Amino acid sequence: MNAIKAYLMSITTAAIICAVLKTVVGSQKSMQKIFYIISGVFMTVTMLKPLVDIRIDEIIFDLEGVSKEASFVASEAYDQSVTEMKMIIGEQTKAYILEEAKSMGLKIEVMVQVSNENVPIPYSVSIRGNISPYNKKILSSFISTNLGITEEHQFWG
Amino acid sequence: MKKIILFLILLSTIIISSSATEYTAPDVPESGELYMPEDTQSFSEGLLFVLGSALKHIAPDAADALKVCVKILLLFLLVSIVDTVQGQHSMVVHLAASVMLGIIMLQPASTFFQLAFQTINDMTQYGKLLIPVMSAALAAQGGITSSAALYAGTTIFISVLSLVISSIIIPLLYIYLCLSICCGALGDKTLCTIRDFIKWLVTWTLKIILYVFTGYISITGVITGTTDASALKAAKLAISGTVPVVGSIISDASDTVLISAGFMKNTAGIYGIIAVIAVFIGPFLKIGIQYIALKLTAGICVTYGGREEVNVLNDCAKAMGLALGSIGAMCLMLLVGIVCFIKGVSL
Repeated sequence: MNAIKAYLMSITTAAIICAVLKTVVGSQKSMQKIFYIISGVFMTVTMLKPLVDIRIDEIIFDLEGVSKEASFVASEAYDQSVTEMKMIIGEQTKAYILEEAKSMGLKIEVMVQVSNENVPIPYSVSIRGNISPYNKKILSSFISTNLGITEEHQFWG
Repeated sequence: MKKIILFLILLSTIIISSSATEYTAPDVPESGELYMPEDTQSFSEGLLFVLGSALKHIAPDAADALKVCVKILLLFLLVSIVDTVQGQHSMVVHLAASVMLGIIMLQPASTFFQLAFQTINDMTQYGKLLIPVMSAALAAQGGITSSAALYAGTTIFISVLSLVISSIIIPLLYIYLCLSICCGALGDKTLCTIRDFIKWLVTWTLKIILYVFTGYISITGVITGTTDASALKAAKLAISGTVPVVGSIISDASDTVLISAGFMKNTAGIYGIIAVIAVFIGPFLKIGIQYIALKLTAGICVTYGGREEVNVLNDCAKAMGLALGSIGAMCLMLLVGIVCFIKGVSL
């Protein structure tokens, strides 16, 4: 960008110099044609010479860096939203099981693990508390039927 | 009974979601604090507040513009008197008049160009803070593809426009003024041609960058938005295929996260739009008043004669117009980018 700015300033300065000299020299008709040729060559060289030295790689913007940064921000935010969704699913599933246990007169502690798939689902549950085998069987069946968590993924403590 | 239990569970999500990630817009830059409303919940009320605040502070700028115009009118009057006394068109007098006009305009023009430069910097820095927030909120809302594409495009174009304006266009405005004065003083066609070329170059550079940006944003928004909307629908279909209770839980959790992210994104976006306008409006009115005042003065000065000096005055007004166009282009680019993020994904 500095090169472009310097280029435009050099053209402007050259033009002003030619204009001032033209004002001084212009009255002398014998010098006019020679002056026009010299000023024309001078302006041409001033305009064309810097163009030869242009390097495109110096002007290219860091597109790859911005693209990586964009992907990083988007994926970080998306992962955060999935984490929040898993937390909500875990809490809701836990609350659902606790409500059913309460209706059965049980006092238990529940921990729910949620899968890491694109659509996170509760896949295992750990239950601690004083539960009779009969109530355990009923609650286990409830969890399998309503939440899809099979007996292999139910851990009783 | 089960419906009541499910309702209670759904109600509990309101409490649970309060601990979710927050996406808030960065505070308005110092230059825009004067015009920023305290409450930005309503976009229309916030916008009206900004405009009202800006108009209330306009009087000192109008007074400064008037002082400059009075000096210019006095100069034209003096030149007209000298021409009448001499009885002929003197080149030296008109050369001196063009130079005097340049000296009168140098200080206010430099002030306004520096103001435009600072405003561009403020808007660029604010945009670089706001865009990641909007991008993250859009990604959290399910628009992961459109978020990355809009982030990359908006950031690149804002950086390019800021660099072009601060490194090329602002210096070109000084060169334009200089050439206008020389053209008026010397009457050289080469100088006038280069002056016109610079005006054309600045105008078309701004237009091309804006056209390309608008085209990129429009096309990218449609394509990536469609991709994200399809992905969301596919996810919802997958959810509906699960066990009913689990499906309901997952669907509600998904909606909670998406809706809260969307709400925060919209709130941040509205604040961001008002903040950008707050940064833009003060300098825009300052330079705009000077521009209108110069145009009016040029219209009055025509009656004094001095065609070359009136042309120089018109060129000074055009330089102000180009500065206005530069900050307007940056403001427009930011606003379009923010609106595209707000539009986001159709759920």
